[in-house]
Amino acid sequence: MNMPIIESGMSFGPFIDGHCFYIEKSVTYKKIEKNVQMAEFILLRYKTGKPPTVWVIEAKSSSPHPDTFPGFDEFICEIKEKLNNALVLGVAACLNRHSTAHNELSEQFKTLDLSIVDFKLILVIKGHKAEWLPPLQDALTKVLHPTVKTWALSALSVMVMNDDIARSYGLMS
Amino acid sequence: MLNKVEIKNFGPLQHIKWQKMGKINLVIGANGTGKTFLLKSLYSSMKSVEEYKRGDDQRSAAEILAEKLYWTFQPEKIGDLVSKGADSPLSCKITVNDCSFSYGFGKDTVKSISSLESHVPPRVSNSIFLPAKEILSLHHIILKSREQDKLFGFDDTYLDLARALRQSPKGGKNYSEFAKSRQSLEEILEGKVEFDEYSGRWLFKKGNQKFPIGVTAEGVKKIAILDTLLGNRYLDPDSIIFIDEPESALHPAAISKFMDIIAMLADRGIQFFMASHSYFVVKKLFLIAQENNLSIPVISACDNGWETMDLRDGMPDNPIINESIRLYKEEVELALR
Repeated sequence: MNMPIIESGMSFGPFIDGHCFYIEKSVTYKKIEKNVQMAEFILLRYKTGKPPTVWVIEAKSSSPHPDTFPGFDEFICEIKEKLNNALVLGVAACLNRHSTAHNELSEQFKTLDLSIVDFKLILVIKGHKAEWLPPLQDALTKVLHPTVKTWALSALSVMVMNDDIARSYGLMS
Repeated sequence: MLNKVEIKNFGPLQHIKWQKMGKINLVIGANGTGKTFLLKSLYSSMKSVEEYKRGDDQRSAAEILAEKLYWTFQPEKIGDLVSKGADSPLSCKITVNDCSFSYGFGKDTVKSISSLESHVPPRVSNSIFLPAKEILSLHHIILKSREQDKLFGFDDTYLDLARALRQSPKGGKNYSEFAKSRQSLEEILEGKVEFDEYSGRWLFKKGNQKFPIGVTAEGVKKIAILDTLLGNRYLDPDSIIFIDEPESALHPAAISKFMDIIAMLADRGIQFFMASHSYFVVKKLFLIAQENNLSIPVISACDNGWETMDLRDGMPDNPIINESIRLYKEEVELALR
């Protein structure tokens, strides 16, 4: 098992060795980080009888707040940017387009069949009220529409959850 | 099953082309865009098809349609249904089980439709329109107003429904999906609605207690209507049900259950057309489409006319969802400032 990932005041994992690519802390990302915002980590999930799924995770310690964020639209735009970039960099790494990726990625990632893998773009917000999640998910789904369509992702690819829900889906122990 | 429709210059509907309809279909848009009008125009066509050559009815299809349009939309003359300022006649073309039914007329038409072509064979099934308001408490008033007094006010969607409800419940084995749906409907109702022949009134029965329909909740009466039509066999698997604002008077949890029942009935064959303003209706239907990999076509009124999409492909970009997001922003702003 990997060490847990501590992000935005939440402890993710631990995950099975080779199933998690801590993309934000990767050498591959560090080389290109200037002006490229990145989500936290990428997680491989397997379910019997289904193609593998890659969860792209972005974590936030709080929801849009007038004092800490410029505004709701900017908040959503930032999340979109990070999830989108992590999806693209993750796939580029799997395709070995970055020389550093070979040493960082596990065999499971390197041998992924990218043509069938399903992607989920997930925002986890610490302590976010459950009743506030649906409109946030709708807003994020709306801005990620071009990504969902161009990558031929399923209509259920964008998720917003709080730490309670994330825990129930095994993102936290 | 209705497969497609193209309408031109029909009241607020300047041009609608909806080519791929499914078992469940959704119409969304702001107030005044013509959602109910679209449902009623489809309903009028379907009822005309269904009434043609039924029993000993000698009327021509054009006569039936003209009457249906007159009593459904209640204009002074049916030519008033042509869009104001339109430079060409009204035209409506539907396809039912791949057979076409089309008609058209100009703004000076009083009651005689000269252009009508139908290739749809006679149908034994009944379609029905469920208005946004319940009608059980007005049942006898609707029948008197229309059948005796022949007055405008309650349009044909109300009259047809009042007549359909008048049919007595039938015993014997119902379609299993219908029986299951009725059971689910009665779970939402926590009772059932019955027509009392002695008093000529509808009653709500809960356990051993009976209540007059007037004191029964609006949502209960609404659900009871569908339950009754499934019970008295007015509906069969080839029926088409048009529902205006299925969400009205229903709690969000009841809306979700109602949509599940609709999905169950659609799976058995009944086709649905619903016009809605509700986030819960759209969201629940989206989830049903995803869960069952089911095509749920949507037509949405927008600034440039009407757009079609499918809930299987995602949630529609529309003002219902946008308003939910706007309210969220407003709430966060209020809560955290």
